[in-house]
Amino acid sequence: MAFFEQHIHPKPTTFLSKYIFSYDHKVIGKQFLWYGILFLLIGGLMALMIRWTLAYPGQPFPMFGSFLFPETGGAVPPDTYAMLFTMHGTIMIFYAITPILIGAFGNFCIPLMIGARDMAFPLLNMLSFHLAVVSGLFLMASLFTPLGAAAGGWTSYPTLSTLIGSPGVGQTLWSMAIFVLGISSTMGAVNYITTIITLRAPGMGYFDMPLTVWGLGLTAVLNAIFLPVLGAGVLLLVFDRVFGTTFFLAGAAATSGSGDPVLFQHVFWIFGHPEVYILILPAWGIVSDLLSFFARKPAFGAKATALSMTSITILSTLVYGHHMFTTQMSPLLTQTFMTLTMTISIPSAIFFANWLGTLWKGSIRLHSPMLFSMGVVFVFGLGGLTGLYLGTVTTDLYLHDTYFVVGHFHYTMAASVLLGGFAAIYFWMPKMFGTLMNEFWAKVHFWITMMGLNGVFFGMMLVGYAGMHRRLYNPFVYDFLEKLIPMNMFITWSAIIMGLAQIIFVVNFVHAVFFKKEKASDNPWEVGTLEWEIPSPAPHYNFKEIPVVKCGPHEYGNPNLPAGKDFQFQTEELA
Amino acid sequence: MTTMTANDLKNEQGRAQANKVAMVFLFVSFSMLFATLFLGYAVFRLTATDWPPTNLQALPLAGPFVSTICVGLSSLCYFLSQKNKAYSQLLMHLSTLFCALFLGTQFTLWSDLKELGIFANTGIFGSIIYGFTWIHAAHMVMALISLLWVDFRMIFKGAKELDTLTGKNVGSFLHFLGVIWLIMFVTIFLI
Repeated sequence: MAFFEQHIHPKPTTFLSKYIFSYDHKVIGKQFLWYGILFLLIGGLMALMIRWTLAYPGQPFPMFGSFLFPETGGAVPPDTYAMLFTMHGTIMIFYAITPILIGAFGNFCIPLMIGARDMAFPLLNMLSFHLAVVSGLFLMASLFTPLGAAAGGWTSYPTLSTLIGSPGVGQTLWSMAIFVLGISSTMGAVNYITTIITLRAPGMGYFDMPLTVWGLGLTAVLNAIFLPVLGAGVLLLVFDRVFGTTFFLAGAAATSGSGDPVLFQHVFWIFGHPEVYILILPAWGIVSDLLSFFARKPAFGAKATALSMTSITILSTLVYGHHMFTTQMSPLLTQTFMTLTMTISIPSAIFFANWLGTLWKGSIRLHSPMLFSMGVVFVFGLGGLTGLYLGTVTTDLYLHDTYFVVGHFHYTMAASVLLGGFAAIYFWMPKMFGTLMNEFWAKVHFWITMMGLNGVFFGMMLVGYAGMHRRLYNPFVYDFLEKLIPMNMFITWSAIIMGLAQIIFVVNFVHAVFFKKEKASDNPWEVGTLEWEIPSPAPHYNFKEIPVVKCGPHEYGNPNLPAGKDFQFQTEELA
Repeated sequence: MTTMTANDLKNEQGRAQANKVAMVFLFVSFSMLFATLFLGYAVFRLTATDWPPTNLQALPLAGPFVSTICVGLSSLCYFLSQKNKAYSQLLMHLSTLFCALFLGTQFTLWSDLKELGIFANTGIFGSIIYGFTWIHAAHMVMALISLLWVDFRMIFKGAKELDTLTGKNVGSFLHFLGVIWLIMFVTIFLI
């Protein structure tokens, strides 16, 4: 229930107040969206360079390889390769997926879906974005430093990330970028949580909130709790690099009394495993809603889905050790972490079954947001199931650090989240920009992306199962991996096809935002949540009158509805 | 004179409520940052054969003790200024002064450590003392800036500034940092 009613702010008139220093959650959401898409393209390009190197080792990268790497005739050099996979992982996780799913849709959707006029702290919200920009600049600046960017992997384990492994300033800038981004995300998280708790429209209980808001809210809780853990870790790493402390240096590297490199791994994964759920919970929430909206029936077991997501959030804090089975952990601990990891399957299976229950016998409308949502169901199913092998000690010892791990986490963290993000963009496009994207090209985008990403990530799992290690510049110097070159070529071409498909999206998106004349109606998808009761695009004040909520977000097929209408607005009361 | 309507009152109470929720989660975040540091410290301390390492002298206690007194007095003065409106201005000045003194004593501590031959790069022992005190001091600098802001505004607005949300938040932050310092004093310097 709303604790207070926010005032309607005057409409911003100048360019600066409207686009740069805007307090409006919708504008900040769009800023995060553009920011995320920009980094998605940079990270995607890096992925193509990595893939090219693995398919055609030593051969020049097409088109602009000779411009980027003139000293090797256009081929990616080994040290640059290490920077590429480090920066690719960092950019995609922290600077692409996080801003799009959490920054853009968290900002845009939360106030609109709970019936608020803005976030609880609009100034904090604006500062959160500006800090994210500062962080992005730090990270990109590291690419232009004398010894190049960070090259110790996105996990930045010491000693790879200390001055011994990475002597240049790039790794220091990486650590500072992550620290600043952590502050930005924590500010956002506190804002999201407060907004959800205190600004829900009158009549809206927690279970009347759309599952999108549940996902975003739980993500914010995890962010507020665990980002400072990573913050502490990278801060100490900066101290080690800049002031000569020895928190993560051991043996002869530390002058007197040793630090512990493995301690960083603990700190990293205490944050890192919840981070997986930080990324995926918003996508789960969005998909849970969209499946119901486009199956034209109530979300099956919506309360159970919300509670399952909550259980997963809690359990995600207890399982980080499964990332460290190979660090000589005691068998008692490995078995404990394994058991706890397996426990997550229970709530995961519940909400996955609920997704299928929602689809079962629905009047499915295969619009683009629904296609992408069903894509999430498929890829998350595959990614989730392959996670069982990595959560089990015996199989993990064989698969650890192979491409099987890369394929698995790309299915869960990249494919699921990316498809969920696309679903969200296609779905909320009318409310964000007032237009709909072209449906035909959206569907073409979906099918090519779907084929491409499965070729890439399933292929990765196959070569990983065959023993191909990750992070090797040229794995084919080993005889037993030579036969995997054709498979790697297939993966690379799948990645190129997937990359090219994104051009369709970019053109469609830019056309819809800047050039499309035809405006979308207020409720083109015929959905009952609060944001679809206001004009498209959403006005700067959101709601002239704060709505009073009478029912849940997934009310479909009520026999008391008037003829020709199968959905109920959340403010409607039917007999 | 403007009168407050029932709706205004409800909104004001609502904002206060939102503020409380935000501060709770903010303190959870800050606590996790310091908890991570203490976790690392516990690992090093519990697995060390000698603490402090045999070639190093025991830490000086006088400086950190004075720091503890300063941060405690700063917190106490802030608390009393919120309770005692008649002396609130004076107590607020004292709170700011003690906070500044705390930071001064930290510089003294770092200087004493250097004289003892303990530097940031003197193994894990020096790393922990410098690293932890730096991070805490950085937070105390934020607290001092906030105190100066409230103090400055009190010159114009009087004691009621302490009842604003900013006034309450600054107080909570100061008390929080006081508790963190107390834990650091006991675990790093005393035992």
